[in-house]
Parts: sequence; structure tokens; C-alpha cells
Amino acid sequence: MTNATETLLAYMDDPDPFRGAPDNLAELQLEAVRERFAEQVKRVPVLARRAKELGVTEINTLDDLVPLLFAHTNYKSYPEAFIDNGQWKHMSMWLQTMSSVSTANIDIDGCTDVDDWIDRAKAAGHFVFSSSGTSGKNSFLNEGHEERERAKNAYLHGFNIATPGYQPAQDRHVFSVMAPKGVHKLTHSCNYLYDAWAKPDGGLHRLIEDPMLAMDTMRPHQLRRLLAAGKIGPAEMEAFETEMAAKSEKNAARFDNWINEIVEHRHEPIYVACMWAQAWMIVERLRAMGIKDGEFHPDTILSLGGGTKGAKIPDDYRDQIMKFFGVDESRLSNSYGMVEISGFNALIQPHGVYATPPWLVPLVLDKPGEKLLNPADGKGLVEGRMAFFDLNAEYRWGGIISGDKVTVDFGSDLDGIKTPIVRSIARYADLEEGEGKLTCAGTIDGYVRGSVAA
Amino acid sequence: MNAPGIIDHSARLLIPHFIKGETQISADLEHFSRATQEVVMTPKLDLDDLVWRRHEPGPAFNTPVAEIVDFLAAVGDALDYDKNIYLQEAMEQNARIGTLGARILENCYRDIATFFTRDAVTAEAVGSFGSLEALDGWHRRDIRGAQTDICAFPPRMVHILAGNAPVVPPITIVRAALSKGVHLLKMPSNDLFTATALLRTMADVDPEHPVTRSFSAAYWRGGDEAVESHIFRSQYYDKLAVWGGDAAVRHAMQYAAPGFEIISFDPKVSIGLIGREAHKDAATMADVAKRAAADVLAFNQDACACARFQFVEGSDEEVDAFCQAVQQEMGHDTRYGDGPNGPIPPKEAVEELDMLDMLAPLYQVYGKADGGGLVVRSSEPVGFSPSGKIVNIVQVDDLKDALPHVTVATQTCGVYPLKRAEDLRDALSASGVQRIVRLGSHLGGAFGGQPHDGGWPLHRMMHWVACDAED
Repeated sequence: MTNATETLLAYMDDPDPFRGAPDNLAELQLEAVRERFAEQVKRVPVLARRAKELGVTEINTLDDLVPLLFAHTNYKSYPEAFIDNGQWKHMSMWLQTMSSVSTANIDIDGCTDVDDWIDRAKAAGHFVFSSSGTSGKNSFLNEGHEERERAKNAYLHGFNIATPGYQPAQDRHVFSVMAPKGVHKLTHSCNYLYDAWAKPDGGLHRLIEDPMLAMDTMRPHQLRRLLAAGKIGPAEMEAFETEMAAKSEKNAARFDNWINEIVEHRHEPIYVACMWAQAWMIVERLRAMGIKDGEFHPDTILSLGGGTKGAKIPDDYRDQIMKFFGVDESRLSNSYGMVEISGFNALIQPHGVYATPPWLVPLVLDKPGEKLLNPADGKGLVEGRMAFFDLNAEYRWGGIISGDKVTVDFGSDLDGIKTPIVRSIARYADLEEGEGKLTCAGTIDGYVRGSVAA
Repeated sequence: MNAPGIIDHSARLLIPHFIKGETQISADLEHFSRATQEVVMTPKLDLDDLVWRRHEPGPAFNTPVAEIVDFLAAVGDALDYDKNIYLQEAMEQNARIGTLGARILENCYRDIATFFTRDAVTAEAVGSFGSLEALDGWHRRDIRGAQTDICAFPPRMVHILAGNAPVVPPITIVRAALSKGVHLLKMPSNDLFTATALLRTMADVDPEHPVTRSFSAAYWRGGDEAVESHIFRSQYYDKLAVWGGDAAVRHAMQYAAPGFEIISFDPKVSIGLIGREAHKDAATMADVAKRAAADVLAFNQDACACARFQFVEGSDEEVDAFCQAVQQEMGHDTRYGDGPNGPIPPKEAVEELDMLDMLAPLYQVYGKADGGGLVVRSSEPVGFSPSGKIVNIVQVDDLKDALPHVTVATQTCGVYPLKRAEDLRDALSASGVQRIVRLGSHLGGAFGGQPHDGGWPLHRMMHWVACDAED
């Protein structure tokens, strides 16, 4: 006899969990949330505390879940002094507050830096992953081996369903910007994806071979803190800038090389996985080399994602990129996801919508994130702040609120899809225009100039 | 007494402008501001009216300073809240858009005349120049054997005001009036009424007074290039004084050019240094906790002089007891701070505090995010900037241990007992501190006669000219 959670997690192996979802999905999801809450409220200290404060002892409806959802900022709530002072025991203590399992088994003896701490956590069974945000503070999320392995297929299927005419057969040259190892949530599943698509010998062309380290993104912010506090001098700053310049030179050389490999293989069916802004860089570079629109194999697939904020990119970049590579929507893989959830809300073509998989419970909230707007009868279109409950999460609490403004269609029955679908996505941060309040209260952050400025 | 009925709260906010002595009230332009979360209306801006041409002397360039002091004192007399309809209106309107509640705002406006007293105004000039007379005409000096006439010539200035506390407009107006120059005040979205309330009072006292005609105050969206790029030029103005947040200061910096100087009242944080003497006995501890809380509370902790970190000497037990006492004290209303119904801290800060509290005994949080105030105790300053009635009490063995955390962004430092300041003040100044006060006096000091943010603003505002003189 399996419980509701197990029933829904079994869909992570289904190549099309969207059409294959059970008829009583909403009922099973609520039951599974109840099961997860009952387990995790005893284990995750922050959840236990919040539930106690709110007097929540069980979940009866999804409304009960709303005040218990975490924000991404919860996962970066550690004092940065722990990192700066090398207090790894304290970091493990902090991770414990967000985890359902003990972190006391992380061996911190002789730990040198935050990436070393992550490696040691992994060695102890905590597959901690990290994400950098605009705030300059990385988040750290705990993940167990089993949930991580379960999610691999979910990611693979999530990617592949977006290109229904093409399935992986280890017969392509794959070009990727993802590092082979490192702290990013997706490195593990991307390796699995590339194995499925790339020719076994020499078919995978990575832009980056070095592992992706948490310190890569954290170092400038740490230097800023140390500089502001007068703990480092100009020589160390100069050394950092020199190191960055050397690195950027090396990266530029790698990029040239990678571009040449794309040129070389462009008349074969290639698979290019990168961010939109990087795809635009490729287009610009290849155009400068004299390559014209559409000079690619007609089976070329692009797997593109990410925002374009801050990138120097024309308004019609999407059209231009697709035209250049000669791809239509059916060969443009995309998805809607976030590091805090397992798998993707997969792109369903030719409709251009994103279907939520059975193990992710979609919750549409009002803008402040306080009220659930999901339709009571399970049917209809609602607009609001996106939140999810990830039933796959085991080493941490599965409830997470996003910064995204979405419209979700419940019970649409579009093209046989039995799960709710996300029809539009925007970031609240990009939507809100206006002026800030003026106040003379400030912090030292604004006083730091140069390569490490906020 | 308030004046019920003078404000129609259902209507869109109508923001008066004040242009060279004339009040303008007209709903020509709509602005949406995040501070108000609504549409506000202003008169149309005539860019030519926002500047004074250089070939014409300002109205007050030759007004004797004694006459200006008399006039400011008369304006001060007219700033009697019970009789002054502009202050009453400013209170009601700002209570609608600002973060300070009606009670605090009313107290601020009841006290606003203190900026204009003869004593305060005179002290401000004497502090900067050594005498009032220095502001009148040319003063002959023998400089290394050469006769030289020196003049503190009146400046042409733009002031970008901040709106977190209604003290920025009176300070600006008093200094500006003393300078005899011409002054354009750019009002902030979170205080659209204080500056014009003061200037309209001035116009009631004497509409033709040269000082009245030397002022303009207007609102446009901060950073609006269609306005700012045309008027922030050395052809019209010598200097731009900017109060405020990081974005406002950075934005203003862009306009710096030869002949156009920026005077920045930078964003700041303030701290407290509390010696082990505080734990001498229960009565002392209670008194020190009350002072510590007062430094946090004023203007609901939305001013640069508000304490955000307080470094406290003492044993674990002593510091714990002190934290509890400060948290309790933060629950009582002060003249400029809300006790029970204070600001609710930002959600992110509350989440971070929840987390820190779980790391006990490394951290400990006292109080709830209910407006009553929160204290977080730690052995290192927390990584975020406490706001919304949160103070971080950092336990130290010696007050000197706080010095590594003092920076050029540290403005005011409240010390208990004050005698400890003697040992610390050189090191504090070297690290960047600009003002050292008794604990509990961060916002209590009277205006007039003291340096501000590491300088003498009035002195810096003047256009200093030297002229060779015949022997």
C-alpha cells in the first residue's frame, strides 16, 4: 500500500506526467501535503517553530499551507560573519535549522572555505546546492541522495517534452555553458541530460570545464565587506582584480574556441544549451564571422533559459536568435522552474504554456503572498504570486514562495493535459516601477566603489 | 487643535509649489509615487521659473544678516502649531502619506519653531563663521602682509531634501536664509508638505521680504532628467546639497561638474557604546536602557541618527538583562517615537531574526515583530541593517572592540557613561564618526552651532571670494 506522496512521486519517472496524471490529482496532492507536513513539522526546526507560532497542527486545506511557505531568502539567512570568520560549525548549525536531518555528521575539521564545507556536507550525505542572487548572498539548500536521484529523470523529461519531435539518442554535438561539477542545482541533472543527447565520444562541448564554486559569486561581496570593515588593503583588492582579469582572458579564449566548435558542427544536428543573453552573444559573434541567418542543420535544437536583465540585447532578441539558428518553437526547448523545486514545469508545444507536474502543487497567492487564490472548484484562470509545494523535497521543507507574477489555468484540459498550466510568467521586481523613498539612513555598502561595488 | 474639514481625504493629494515667494496651487500634473501609493497632483513646472539668472543679483544678496535673523525669529513666532494652518495641513497630509503617525508628526510640527529661534539661528552662523557679521559684505584682512578683502558671497543652490523626518526642511531653510543666496528645494515624495508649510508661513509674515523671494520649493519625480538635466547646471546654480539615500546621492553625483559642486549629507548609520557601568544597580540599568531605547525609537528608526547597533560591555547575564530592559522600553511612546504601535520590521529582517533566534545561544531575539520593538543579541554585528524598530545589541569585552565596526558611514555615537568618550573619541573620529553624544541624546540635541556630517555646512555653502585691497 503506497501513500499519496509515493503515488505522486512515481510520476517523476513518467515521460509525460502531465497527460498521465491521475484524475483525482488535486485530492492526492492535498493528501500528500498533509503527509509531508506531518513528517517534516517534527523534523525541520524552522517549520516547527512557525507552525507552533501559528498554532497549525495539521493541514486540512491548502489555505493552511500558505503561512508555512518559505521564501528564497530563508535559505540565505545565515550570518555572513560565519563565512568570513570560517565558523563552519555554525554554518552546519544554521543548515540544521532548515533541514529535516541532522547536520552534526558534517566533518568540519580543517575546513578551508565554503566550497570545502559544501564538499564535506556532500560527503556526509547532504547534497547542498547553492544559488547566487542579485543580493550577492548565496542561498544554500539541503537535498538528500534519493530525492536528487529521483529528480534526474524528471528534469530529463521536462527538457525533452518541449521538443516533441526529437528524443535523445546520443547522436548529437551538444554545446553547453553548464560546468561539469559544482554547487548549482542543475549540474547533476544536466550531466544526465547531456549523456542522453551527446555522442559518447567527443560529442559534448562545454564552455566551462572548471567546477562552479560558491565562492566565485560570493568572493566579490566578501571583499566588499572586508574592505568596508578595513580588514583588507589596496594590495589585496589589486590582486583580486588582476586575478579576475586573467580569468576573464582565459574565459574569452575558451569562448573563442567554443564558438569555433559550433561553427565546425553547425551543419550537423546540434543541441545548444545556454542563457538567452549568451545565445545573443553567439549570434553576434557568428554574424561577425560572416555566418548568415539559417545556416544551420534543420534539426538544430536550442535549449534556452534565464533572464536578460542587464544584458545589452535588442528588444527582438528572441526572434533574431531563432531566425539565426533557423529554429521554430518546436525546436526551442524551454521550461519554467526554480532551484527550490524538483524538475520543471514543462513547456507544452505548440501552445507555449508550462504544465505543472503532479509532484509540484501549484499555489497562486495574492501579491503579498498571504492569501490562496486557487479556484475552489479546481477550474479557472487565476493571476497572482506563484508558490509551490514540492512533494519531492525530503531533506528540507517543500513549500516555497517565488517572486513571479503568473497566470495559472486550473482544469483547462488543454491538449489532454490533466495538470494545472502556467500561461504567463513575469517577475514582480521587473514590473514594479516607481520612485524610492528618500531617507538619510544608510549603510556602509554605498561607500564601497569599484569592482566589488554592490 | 487640529482643523477638521480643511482636508478632503477623498480627493487626490494636491501638492502646493512655492516659486520665488509665490504659492502655486493647481492640479496640472499627475505623478504616481510609491511613497503615497496614489496619484498626486502638482502645478505645471515652468523650468525658467525654477532658476535665477546669474546676471541678476538674488533678492537677499545685500540684506544685512541682522535683518535676516529678525525675520527668521518672526517666522519662528508664526510657526505656532495651534494657529498655523499650514503646519496643521502638513500634519494631516503627511500623516496620510508618510511613515510617521499623526502623533509624532504633530509633535515634530509643534517643535519646528525651535529651529527658527534667534538663539538657534545666531548659533548656526557663529558656529560656522565665528560671528554673524562675517556674512555682511567684505572684510579686510592682513594676509601675509597683503591687504585682502574676503567676502562670504551668497550662493545659488539646489537642495534635494529627504522625507524620513520633518527636520530636513527647517534646517535647510534656516541655513539657506542665512546664506542670503537663492535656493530651490526639491521636495521628496515622502514629505510633500513641510517645506512649503514653512515657506508659506514666511510669505504670510512678509510676502515681499527678500528672503521670502529667495526661495522656491517644488516636486518632481526624483531623477527626472527632463527637469534635472536642464536646471542642474553651473549656469544657474553653484552647488547642489543632497540629503538622502544611496540612490539620491549617487544620482546627484552625476551632475557634478566644474563650477557645480555637490554637498552630500550621505546616508548614515548610528551606534551606541555602553560601558559596564550601566549594570551598577537596577536603577542605573533601567535608566540606561531607557536612553538606549530612545536612540533607537526616534522617527521610528527611519533617520540617520537612529541607533541600529549598540555595543555593550558585560557578562552574559548582564547583557541579557539589559537586552530585555531595552526591549521593554521600546514599548513606550516617546515624543518622536511610537512605543506600542511602532513600525513593523521588514519581512526579510523578521525572517532573518527568526533564523538567528534558532541559533541560540549564539544569537538571541527579544520581542516580537508586532511594532513593539525587537532586540537581537549577538557577539558580532548582524549582516543586515536593522530597521523598523530593531536594534542589534553586540556583547563586547571592551568598548574598544566596537571600533573595527565603526566606519565612515557611522554618524552619531551615543556613549554611556559619557566620561568613557574621552578615551574613545580620537579612535572613533579616526574611524569616521562625526558626532559623539550622551547615550539617549542621538536626536535630542538642539539645532544650531554644531558641525554636521563632518563639516560646517553653512560655511561650505558660501561662495568665498578674495579681493586685493589698497594698502
